[in-house]
Amino acid sequence: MNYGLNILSIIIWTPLVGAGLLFFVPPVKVRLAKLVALLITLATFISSVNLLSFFNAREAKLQFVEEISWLAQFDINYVIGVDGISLLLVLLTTLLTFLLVLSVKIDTSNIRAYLGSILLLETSILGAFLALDAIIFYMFWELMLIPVYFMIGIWGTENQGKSAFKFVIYTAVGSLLMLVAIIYLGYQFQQQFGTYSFLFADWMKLQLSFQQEVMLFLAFALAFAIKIPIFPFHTWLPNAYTSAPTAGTIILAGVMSKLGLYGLIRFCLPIFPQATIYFASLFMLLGLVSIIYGALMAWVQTDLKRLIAYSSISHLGFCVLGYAALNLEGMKGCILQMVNHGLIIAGLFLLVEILAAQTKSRLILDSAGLAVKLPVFATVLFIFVLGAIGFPLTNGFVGEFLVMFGTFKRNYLFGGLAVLGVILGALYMLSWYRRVMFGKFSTANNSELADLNANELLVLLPLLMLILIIGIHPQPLFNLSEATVRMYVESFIKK
Amino acid sequence: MNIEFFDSILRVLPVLVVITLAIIQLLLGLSKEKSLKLPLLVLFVLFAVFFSFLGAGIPVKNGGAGLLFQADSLTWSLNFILLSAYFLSACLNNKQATDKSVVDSDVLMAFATSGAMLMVAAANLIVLFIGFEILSIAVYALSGVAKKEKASAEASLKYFILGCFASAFMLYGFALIYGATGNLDLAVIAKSDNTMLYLALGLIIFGFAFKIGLMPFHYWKPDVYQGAPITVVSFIAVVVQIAALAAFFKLLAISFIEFSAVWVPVIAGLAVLSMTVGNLLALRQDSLKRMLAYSSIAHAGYILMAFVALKNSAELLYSSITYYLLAYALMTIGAFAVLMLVTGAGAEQYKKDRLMTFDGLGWERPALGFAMTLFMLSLAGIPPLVGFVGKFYVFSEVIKTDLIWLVVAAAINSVISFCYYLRVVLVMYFKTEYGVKGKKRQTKDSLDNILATGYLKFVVTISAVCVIFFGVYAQGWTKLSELPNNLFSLKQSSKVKVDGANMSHSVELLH
Repeated sequence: MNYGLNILSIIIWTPLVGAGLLFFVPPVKVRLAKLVALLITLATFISSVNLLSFFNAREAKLQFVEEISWLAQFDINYVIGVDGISLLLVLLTTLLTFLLVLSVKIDTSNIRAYLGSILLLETSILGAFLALDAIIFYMFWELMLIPVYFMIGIWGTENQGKSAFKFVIYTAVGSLLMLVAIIYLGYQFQQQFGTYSFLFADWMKLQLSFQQEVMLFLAFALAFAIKIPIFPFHTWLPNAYTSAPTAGTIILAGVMSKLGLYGLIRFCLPIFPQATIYFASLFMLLGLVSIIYGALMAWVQTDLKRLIAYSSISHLGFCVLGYAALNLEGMKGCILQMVNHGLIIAGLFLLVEILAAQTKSRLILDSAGLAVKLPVFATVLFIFVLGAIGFPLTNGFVGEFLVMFGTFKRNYLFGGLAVLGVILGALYMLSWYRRVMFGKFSTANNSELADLNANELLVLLPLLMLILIIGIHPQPLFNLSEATVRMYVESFIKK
Repeated sequence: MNIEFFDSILRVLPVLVVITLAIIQLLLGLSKEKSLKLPLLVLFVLFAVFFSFLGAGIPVKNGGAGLLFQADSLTWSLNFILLSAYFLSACLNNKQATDKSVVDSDVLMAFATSGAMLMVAAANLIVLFIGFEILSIAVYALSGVAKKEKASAEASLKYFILGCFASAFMLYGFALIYGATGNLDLAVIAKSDNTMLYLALGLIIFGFAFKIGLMPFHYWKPDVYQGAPITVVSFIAVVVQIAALAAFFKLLAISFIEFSAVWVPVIAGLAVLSMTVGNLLALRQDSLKRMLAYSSIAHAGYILMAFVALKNSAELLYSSITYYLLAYALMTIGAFAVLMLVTGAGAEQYKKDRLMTFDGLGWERPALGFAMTLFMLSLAGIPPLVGFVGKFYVFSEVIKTDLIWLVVAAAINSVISFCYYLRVVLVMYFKTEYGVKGKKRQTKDSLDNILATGYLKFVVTISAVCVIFFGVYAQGWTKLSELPNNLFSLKQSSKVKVDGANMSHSVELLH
């Protein structure tokens, strides 16, 4: 399938080259800096869309595989490839990065460094999604911390130093234990097959005792659970999401949280099948707790950004639930919901940021009746809110429906509770929308209000359209990932 | 004059070259000729590297019995690391204190380096001890080189008194070995079995643990680091620690491999203790030098941890350990060079050695801030920098021994170390309650003075480039360390002969 070009490598490394280019832009030429970043992210997005035309959706196996030796004595190779699951997430990443570079304000301080961090982050995220060798995966995974650390710390607000620190330490705890587990698996492979291998595909052949599986599963799952995050590993999230600048928040919520789920599907499911079954109920329970806890916490927030942050925990709970159902419907729902959540949460955070810039406040109580003054804004926001609560004909509905279908197949009680989560979600989302948009018009600071401008619309419209298109006609998306998901689930059931 | 005579001269030639350098520096110092410093340094270091490379090509006869000096690819890679570290430290040692003491410390550094090279090349206990003493005595004097500073004098005295104890214990250990086996040859000791050797082993571990600064024997370290001038500190942190670790490693690998059941738990315990306490104490430090002192204790712990894998395949272990040593040398020297650029030289370096001196550095001097960030991230073990690859190597070696708890302890320790390494980055870039202020800092002047020399910038650049290069292209170090083998196409096993079977095998291949 490789047509002469190392297309995946190009996708991964283009943003890094862009970050290098930014270095040569004179500091005063902020527009030029933004233009460079914009073109680079656009090029990355286009080449990832270009993948679609060469991607064989009927093929469950990895495609466009590239391989370069990195550390010969341990047989570690830079191996990358894409399948139905990672393709969707790569597309989501490149699209969101492009849109949020578009949304970056020209007057951001040190804009070159800011854009450079975004680009470095894009490279590391894409690398983690596409890496097939565990060590390479780990390297991208860990590299991700650095740009996020700087983004929160430098451009963040409200106790940003502490939030950045908390984020890094939480993530590092999980990932270093994962590193130990990765090395152990490589060593196990060497014991059983004579040579080292850190390829996921090879690891599926490993014969592990139940006890080994449980320990290794926990080491991996901890790293992923912190990244998603699942309750009770979520405590870094409200701080980090609130402190981070909008672009940072969107990448954290929209893309990086997916890495945790992706890891669960990519590593834990095929390599530790026994442990996955053993812990499935626990994961379902934690997913449910995340849904309900996130919803309840969101309900009582007064700060809009914090509210969306908690709603993100709640929505990611659905993905976890779908994953833990361990059947085709749940898994399909989980993957679709990952994409949906990325699109919706990005839009919501962007809109909250726009609103805060207009009214000079992020508190719900500070504004009311804005729909009168900002009709376009109110409409756009309403569609995102509908997506978030899973209203029919929006993408959220399809995803949540599949997840709940999968959950019911597994366990009626959990399925019932998940429905409760959906209701709660509708309650808090609609209630803050009502308070801010309807009623008697007032704003705290009597600031001048202006509706969405062209640039903002340009950023939001693609997301909006995708929400509706996926909601009305989700089949193409399923087609892309169907074969891979089926293979994962079926080979799992066989074991 | 037979060929064997030349062979043994060639084996020790790198050490002789460095001693010659020391003597020339001493003579030049008397005539106040300073412009020759750098050319001489470059020339002699290159010669030493070249000769230790050639030395690795000398065929070993009779399985190496009766040799005083070893010259194989392990010695070559250790010499390479020591000489590079020496070269970089000597570059730091420039116009930083009063002129006279620069000459003194140049000479002492060269002598200390020759001792270090003797230690890692020793195949005989007496040679090992002589190297150990040449190194130690030079370093005692070095740490007191800033004569006008009380702290420096205190550091020197403290180091000297405690160091003498350690040397005495070690010598006693060597004497016991001789008493038990009637031999001082490292390889011969391995074959004997005598209860007295247990006691000797204990004393030797004690001596080395002191010299490396492992946890219960570390008390000299923070004080010496704080008291001595930065150039000396970077030398102690790198050359002394690497030589001591490498010699310790070789002694355990060659002479005491049969006793591994005894020392593995001790070493594992020392390693965990050093990492944990080192990292925890580093958290509380405001002085960068003290912080790096504790961090060097922690890193010694990581390296020591790899020793427990000696029972398994030695092949990979050697390159893993030398890689970590190289990584440690690069990151540490780089960090010290930045520190020196920031705090300046002379007396003020003691007052400015505080975290707050780095306040806003990342914005004021982006290149320097970037370099410091690299060193800190690498020390913390963030990929794809050398620190990460080093940790990966060490972790994978230890996992082979099934001492998983040890690796988990090391992983948790890495997280702790994130806290204080990232704090430096935080102070350099972030606006916090004490961070990044708008006003220009007063250190600017003293900085420019030193910048004029350019040496420091050179050291920072070299270290930063290598930290990235050897991280991204980790294979590079393996290739470099095995270069003599491949070039001379020796069929002999390049590694230290661990057991008899292995030895006869490699000798057979030779003939």
